[in-house]
Amino acid sequence: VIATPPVLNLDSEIDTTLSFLNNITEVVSEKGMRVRLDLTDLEVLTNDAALCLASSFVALQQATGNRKTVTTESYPNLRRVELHLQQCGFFETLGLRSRLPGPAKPDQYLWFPPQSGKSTDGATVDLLQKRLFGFDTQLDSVLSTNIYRAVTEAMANVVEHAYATIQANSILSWLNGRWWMSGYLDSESGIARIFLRDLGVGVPKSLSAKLPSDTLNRIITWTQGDGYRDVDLLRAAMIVGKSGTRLPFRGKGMQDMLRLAKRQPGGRFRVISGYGNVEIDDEGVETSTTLKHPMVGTFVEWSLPLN
Amino acid sequence: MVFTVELDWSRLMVVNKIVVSIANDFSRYPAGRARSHGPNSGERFREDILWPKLSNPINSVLIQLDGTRGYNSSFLEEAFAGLLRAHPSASEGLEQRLTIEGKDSSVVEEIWGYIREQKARGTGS
Repeated sequence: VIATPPVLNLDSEIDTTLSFLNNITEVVSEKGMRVRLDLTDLEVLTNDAALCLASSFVALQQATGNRKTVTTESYPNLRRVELHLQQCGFFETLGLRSRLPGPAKPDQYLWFPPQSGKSTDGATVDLLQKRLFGFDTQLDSVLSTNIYRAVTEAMANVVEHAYATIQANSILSWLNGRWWMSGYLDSESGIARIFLRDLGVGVPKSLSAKLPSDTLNRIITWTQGDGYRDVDLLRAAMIVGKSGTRLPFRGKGMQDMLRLAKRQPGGRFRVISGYGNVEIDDEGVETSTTLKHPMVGTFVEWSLPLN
Repeated sequence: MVFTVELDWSRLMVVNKIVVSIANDFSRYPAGRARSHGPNSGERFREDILWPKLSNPINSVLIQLDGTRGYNSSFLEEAFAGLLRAHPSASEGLEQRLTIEGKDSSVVEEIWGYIREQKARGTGS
């Protein structure tokens, strides 16, 4: 039995959260043990962390071919936490029965519950927008088009590149090309957040494998990185592609993703992969950190103030 | 005043003008590169819609971009630059035979950019 830490999020508690997620994976895949998650002490599970937990949870069940590999039968002691997890679709993703009735009044949040797929699926991105912004969408058409472009390109990156090393007949072939996506709109703050994760090889390893070392060196130098750390490679993937760099590698896909945040006032785009955690805002200001524990695969997030 | 016009019939050819609305004739959700990557990929658009029309030298094609939910770069690059890789003969007179229109002129320019980049790299590579 592994108890969840009281707070799971990808901000202040990112190291605790990733350590917890990696511990579950290690116990199951390396020690061959079953894990039962104990959610009783959970006080906060943000949606970014919820997507990571749900994707790891489902992937471990699939990879071992046994739904009992990772289970949870417990519910958080705090009613508000349970209600939150129920409303955002977390319980449904994990196959847990919802115990509470729906909210008596309209929720502050509009949810797009976790979805998973293995193709570049524009219809699902359209559905996400309809769920978050309404079927008669009042959303600015340019913003709507930019969301479509960014999220479908993120899916395309997963489908094309994220799982390049998985053999077709491997037990992991179920994973090949698979992404998980969720999102929500906070109607009070007017901020929409969209998350997409894969469990593939990760951007830093993918970039290292794809590019010749002299090209990689030029990119690291150009982006003023310190070396071949994950955070440097991640920065390189996000920054390179700007026109005028004259570099042979041009990450068009990543630029599609970044452009959504840059064109929305107050927008932010974040990528976490391996030990790298890089965020760029609408003015191009970049925040990079090296994590204590790695993110398996790649997690991307857009934060979009709509007002 | 009398004008005399002499026609060089050997240089004349019938041109069929074909209009393709991506939203109506293909999908409202174009996205992704190869067929194996998704149901409405650039490769499927190129092979099932665009190339069959352009492969006939008497056709000129007008592509209408409006009406879809959007486009991503994988789709656009594969559909249009991929056209020159998969069918190098498409390169000949493409600028005269292909017209692309849409409210978002940046997408139109982006497509022609992919085509120019592919031409610079050499078709088929």
